[in-house]
Amino acid sequence: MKTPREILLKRHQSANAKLDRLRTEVLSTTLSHPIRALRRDGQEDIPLAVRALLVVWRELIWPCRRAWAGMAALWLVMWGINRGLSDTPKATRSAHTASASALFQALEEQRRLLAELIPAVSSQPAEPPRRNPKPQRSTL
Amino acid sequence: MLGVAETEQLPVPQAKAGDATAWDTLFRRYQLPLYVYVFELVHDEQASLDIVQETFISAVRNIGGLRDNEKFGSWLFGIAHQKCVQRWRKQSHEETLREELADMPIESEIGPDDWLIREEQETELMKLLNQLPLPQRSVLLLRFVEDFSLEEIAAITGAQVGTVKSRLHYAKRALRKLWEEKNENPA
Repeated sequence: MKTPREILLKRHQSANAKLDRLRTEVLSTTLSHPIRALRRDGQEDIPLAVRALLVVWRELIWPCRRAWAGMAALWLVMWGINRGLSDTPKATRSAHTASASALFQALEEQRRLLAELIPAVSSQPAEPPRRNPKPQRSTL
Repeated sequence: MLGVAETEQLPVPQAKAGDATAWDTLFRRYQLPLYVYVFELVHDEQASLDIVQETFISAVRNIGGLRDNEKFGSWLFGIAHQKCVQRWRKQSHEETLREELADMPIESEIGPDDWLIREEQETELMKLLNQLPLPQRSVLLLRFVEDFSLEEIAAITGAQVGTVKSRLHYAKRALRKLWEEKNENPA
């Protein structure tokens, strides 16, 4: 008489050889991983910052790599759109700046001209208004 | 009642510290029961080996998440169960998993050792076991293979304890009925 456990295990006993190979393979691949190796070997060789980056990469980024890639793509699209939209105001702003500087220059020019004219006018004595002589008719 | 896994001292703390020998001991202990459980659910040798391999890899990577070292066995079976569920989902068999059974109190707690089967009846038992719906087969296998408690089976399968109770109850009743029918009308 046997228990169901004994029956089930006996029934699949032949798989043990494959499972042994599988176990060895898993242990050699997973436990030779750099992070795991670090834990065993005293964590001396790699600097803390690099180790932290490796841990972040392995634990946070790599398991959800598709999500991260999607977010990165979305961010790039948003950045592109933002850049595309900000091009127009920039051009307008530069045009505004150009016209303002031209206006300022013209204003300065006028002010300079005015400054030149005003002393010249103030230094001359006031002349009495002269009557323009009427043009004489020439008699032919 | 203690499960099969809980009757022995397992080097789980050493495995958590990254000790390869401890991992080898743990995997050696569970490889066959885990394979049996997975195979009896998926009925595909290669797929079962793949799932066991994925379970081992996942266990090494996520051992930090195991709070209670005593629960290593049920935690490992839980990972394997999730892998099976993922496989079923891929195969669009999700509806089988969603089978909901009414919450019924179990008549009596029957351990795996209470089922004693004669050698000539072994093949028959396996045939009948395979006739059960997946959720019932799953809980019965967990009970048979590792003698997990209802709470542990609930944790492994992600079901409520009441659901596990009723599944176990229906599984045993269905198995008994099939057994009786078989004996009454031997082909």
